[in-house]
Amino acid sequence: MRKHWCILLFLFTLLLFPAASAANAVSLTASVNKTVLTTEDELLLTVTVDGAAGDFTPQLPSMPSFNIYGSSIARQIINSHATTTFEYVMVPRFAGKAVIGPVTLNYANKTYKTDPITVTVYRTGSAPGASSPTPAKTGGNIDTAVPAPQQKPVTAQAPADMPPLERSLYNLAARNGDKDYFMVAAISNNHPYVNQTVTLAVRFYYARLFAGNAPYADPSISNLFMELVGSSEGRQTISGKTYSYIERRYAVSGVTAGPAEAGAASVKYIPMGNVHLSVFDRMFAAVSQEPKTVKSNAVSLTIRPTPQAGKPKSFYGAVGSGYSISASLDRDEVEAGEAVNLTVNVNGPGNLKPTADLKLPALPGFKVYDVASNAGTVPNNGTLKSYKIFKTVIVPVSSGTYTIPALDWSYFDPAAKEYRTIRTKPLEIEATPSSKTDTGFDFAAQADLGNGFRQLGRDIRYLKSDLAQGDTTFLAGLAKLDMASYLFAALLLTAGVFALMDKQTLAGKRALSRARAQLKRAATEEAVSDALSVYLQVRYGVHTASLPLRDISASLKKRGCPPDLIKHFESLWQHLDAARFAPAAMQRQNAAALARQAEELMKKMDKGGRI
Amino acid sequence: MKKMIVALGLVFWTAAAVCATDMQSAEALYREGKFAAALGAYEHLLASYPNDPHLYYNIGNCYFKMGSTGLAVANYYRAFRLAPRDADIRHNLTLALQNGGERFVPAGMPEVLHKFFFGLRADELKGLLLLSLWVFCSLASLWLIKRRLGYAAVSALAIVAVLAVWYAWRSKIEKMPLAVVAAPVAELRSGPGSNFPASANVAQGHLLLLQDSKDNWYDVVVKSEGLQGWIQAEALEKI
Repeated sequence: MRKHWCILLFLFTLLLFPAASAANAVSLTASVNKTVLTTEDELLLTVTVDGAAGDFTPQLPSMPSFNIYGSSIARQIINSHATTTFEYVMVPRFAGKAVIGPVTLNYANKTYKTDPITVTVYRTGSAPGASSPTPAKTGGNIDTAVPAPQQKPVTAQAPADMPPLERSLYNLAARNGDKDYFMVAAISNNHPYVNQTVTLAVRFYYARLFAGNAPYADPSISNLFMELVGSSEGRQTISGKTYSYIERRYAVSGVTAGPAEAGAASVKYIPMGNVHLSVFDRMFAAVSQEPKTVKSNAVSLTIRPTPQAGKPKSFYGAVGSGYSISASLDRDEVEAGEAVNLTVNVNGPGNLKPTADLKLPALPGFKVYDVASNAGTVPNNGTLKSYKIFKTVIVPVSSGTYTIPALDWSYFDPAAKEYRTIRTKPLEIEATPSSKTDTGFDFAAQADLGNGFRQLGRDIRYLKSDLAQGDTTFLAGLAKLDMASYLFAALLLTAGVFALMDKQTLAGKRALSRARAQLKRAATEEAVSDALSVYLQVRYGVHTASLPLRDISASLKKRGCPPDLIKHFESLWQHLDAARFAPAAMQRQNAAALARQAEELMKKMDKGGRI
Repeated sequence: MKKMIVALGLVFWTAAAVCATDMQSAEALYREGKFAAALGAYEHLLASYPNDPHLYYNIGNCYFKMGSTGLAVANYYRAFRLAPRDADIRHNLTLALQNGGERFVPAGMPEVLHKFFFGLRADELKGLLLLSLWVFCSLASLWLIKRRLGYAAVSALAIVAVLAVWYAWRSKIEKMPLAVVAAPVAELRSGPGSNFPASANVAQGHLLLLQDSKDNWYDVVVKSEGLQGWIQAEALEKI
């Protein structure tokens, strides 16, 4: 009996040993499912604690660039080895580089930390560069893990009617038939168009079992969008040797025309020496061997641009076939001025996230606001399906029946190599007159006006019953005659030229010509005197009638007549007075001589005198 | 010739009668409270009689009654530019602007002065300026030739200078690229796109001074608040 107890104790110690040694080999790993994403994408942060048992929770760093809106915990114990996986679903808040700091775990009086992870966040629709899921690790090397296979009898053969992608994988695998563990990768189309989604398949083949989990690293990508769409298991016999494989499928699409590459995927595994080992042997084998890495081949692609010929205006970048579009309104009967939500839904294969937003045509009678879009992808039986929803608000400005025309949306069909257009059904909106009681009447304007009057409010004044056509005024009419200003300007210019050139004024000319005419006819001294008086009146504005000589001289002096001319005038005037009032003393021929003197004086006055 | 004159007169008389009937129909709709239908009728008339201040005024009334203060302000403003002495237009524009939190007469300015400043239409002011210029030219020429009425010429020159400053100021105001917020609420953003953050919400009826435009966005200054930012074109109505 005592011997049995000793054996049991020994066995119990043996059972505890791997658990204890596993506790010493705790590893903490953090990884993300993508390092390049858009602001509308979800990011899955996976924190894996390998080798720790009991209750514990890793401490996440402060992540101001992300909103965390979901988490889950999964525990797996295989051969007394515990692996706990914490998954956090996060959405980036801003575009740009975002760093997820170290995740911390306090376990068994030790602190474990992961490396920081940097992700690049783009705005929706902007093209990412390369994406390379980066594992952050401590002692372990865990990315997303391939579960350890179960030992099963392997007898299956590949079917004869194998599709092209499977055929490629099969042929690639056949070349590796001499290895126990290997990986292959193949793509369904090496020359896709921009945004055309093709399938990348990666298989991890193993002819012998491996211990624990086999950490799996996604392929790095360049100039591609990539999303995991599913995984599966299968078997294949190569050269009489039966392999099991674990396959992962990705939907990839080219971002821009040109070369692109899906790099090597890898799996880290701990090989099992003998498939027939006992449970205890497998346990010891797992901890005694170093992990090995196997990598797949890289896959190169050439991304083709979609043809320019025949590209419709309603083409926003979608490539594929089998798209559908629908439009709906949240209500079709509204009052004028009320908002209506217009939703356009596009569904189809591939990834619609990088496609541009729908542009609405002009909608007469509506105020139309910005279109907002939301896109997402859904894995579906190893392929990718996606949707894009466009939403906008439209407001009918007045009552009536409105029709929103069919909205076109085009895509490029790579099989037919031509553009195809799908369209929504026209939608009708019945806008009734606004029943709002608020018609602008200002009830707040109530006030006592005195004398028993009380103002109840303020409103706009009533309509005008007639047109204002013909309300042209005299001044408005003058405004149309602006060309006449040139005439007035010319008049002013002419007058200015006369003044500047110091020529005889018109009045002077007129006075001289009148006086000359009168002097020619003058036969008596009196006539000469009259002609001179007329001249002085017109030329200087001086009236000589019944004025004494000194007053006439003073007036001439005042009007700028030079003193020598005044003296000359006085002498002549005295002669004329003498001739008129003492004719006997004067000879008859004096009249002609005085006329000449008068004409000479007038000429001098015209040249030298100013008004 | 007489027959032609009679025929032309008949055509004009018929057109005027049709127009009067349309105005009456629109007015009837307005009186029944069918403001949207009345609006449609007035807008139809506006196509035939562009730049009629009474039509703009009536359209403004319809928008005001439909609760679209912003569009009402825009149309009252158009009417005011065409008929600045019309008391009804001035009253309704003042009231509509008050509803949007704006002032028609700037703070601190006596209303009498405002009325005087806008007492003449721009074209009338131009006509008055031209008239005074012609009078000045005549008086100045007379003075240059006959040295007469010099004081009158100087007075005319002073009047021309005052009118020229008035006209230039009015022209500057008339040429200001104004707009009004037509949407119930417009978002003032820091850049020309909805990806730029919104700094303020501007209610309808606020007057905006347009500074610049890019794509479908306008760089505006909200006159009453002194705020500057970008507003989407659909949210505003140019005056």
